[in-house]
Amino acid sequence: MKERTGKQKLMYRYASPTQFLVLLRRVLPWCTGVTVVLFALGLYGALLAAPPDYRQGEMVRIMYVHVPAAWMAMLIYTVIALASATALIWRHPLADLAGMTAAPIGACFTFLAMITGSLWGKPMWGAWWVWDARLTSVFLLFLLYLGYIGIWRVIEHPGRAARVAAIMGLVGFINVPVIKFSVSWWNSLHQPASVLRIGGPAIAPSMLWPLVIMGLAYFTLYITLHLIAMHTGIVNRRIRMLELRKIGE
Amino acid sequence: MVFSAPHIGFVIAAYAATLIVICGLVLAIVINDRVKTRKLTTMKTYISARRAPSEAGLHARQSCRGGQ
Repeated sequence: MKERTGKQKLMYRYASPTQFLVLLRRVLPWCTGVTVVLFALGLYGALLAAPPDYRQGEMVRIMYVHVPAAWMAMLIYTVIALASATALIWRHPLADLAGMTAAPIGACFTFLAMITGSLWGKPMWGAWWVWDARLTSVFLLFLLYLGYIGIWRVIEHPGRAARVAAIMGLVGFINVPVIKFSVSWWNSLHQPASVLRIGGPAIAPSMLWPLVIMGLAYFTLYITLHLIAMHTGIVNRRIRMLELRKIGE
Repeated sequence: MVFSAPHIGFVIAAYAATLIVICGLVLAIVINDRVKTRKLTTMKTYISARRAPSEAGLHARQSCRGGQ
């Protein structure tokens, strides 16, 4: 038998749900604390410290809740795609659970990005919604999330559901770079990338730091919620196992 | 933030929507986790309570055999 490499050892170290729960109990209080602190600091920066924009005025403050939500929408789908690949290639026991539990969180962040974007769009563009490349691809991402969640709900056999969901997770990932580059590839009302771009951020530092802090707050919130949801998933599997044992008796 | 600025209602609405969505998500996940964890604990307690007499009986039988 082949010996496992360092990376494989690390990957399989927390493959056991019991080991994972031990890690989770240690990490969760820290994640919660850091999230609260980052949100407090981020909201202070977004609402009080950051100056109004010279063209948009106070409307620019929507950016601090809209942009991090859009970042999370794309990041969480990337996590789902990675979890799908891990589940299909290495059959890691927690990979499909990671994908399944990340999807509702990702759907909520995508919904939030669409709602706040719409509230920003109305006074700036004069329309709540336009079917341009960026908005349409984000709407498609929202549908992909719903489809992914639907697969887990509709297919009763967990193994088959995991396989179908993993394939969908990987295929749907094509949409993530499309969202990112849609503003460069097609004409769009949406402004081009101004933070994550070649040549560095195009935003004034006084506006950039609250945005980065809010981005980190959203990220730690996602990590915290995903860990709790994975705990629920493990507990759910144990409940199902006990119920099956009960039926067997 | 200047509350008399034009279109400020959109900013307030965006922050309110964020608050509602995030709080709803947090509550849904935390409550679901608590409910499931409580259900597992109840099931484990029920199963161990059912097993306890039979295990005690097994120990008693084994000690009887050992004594013969």
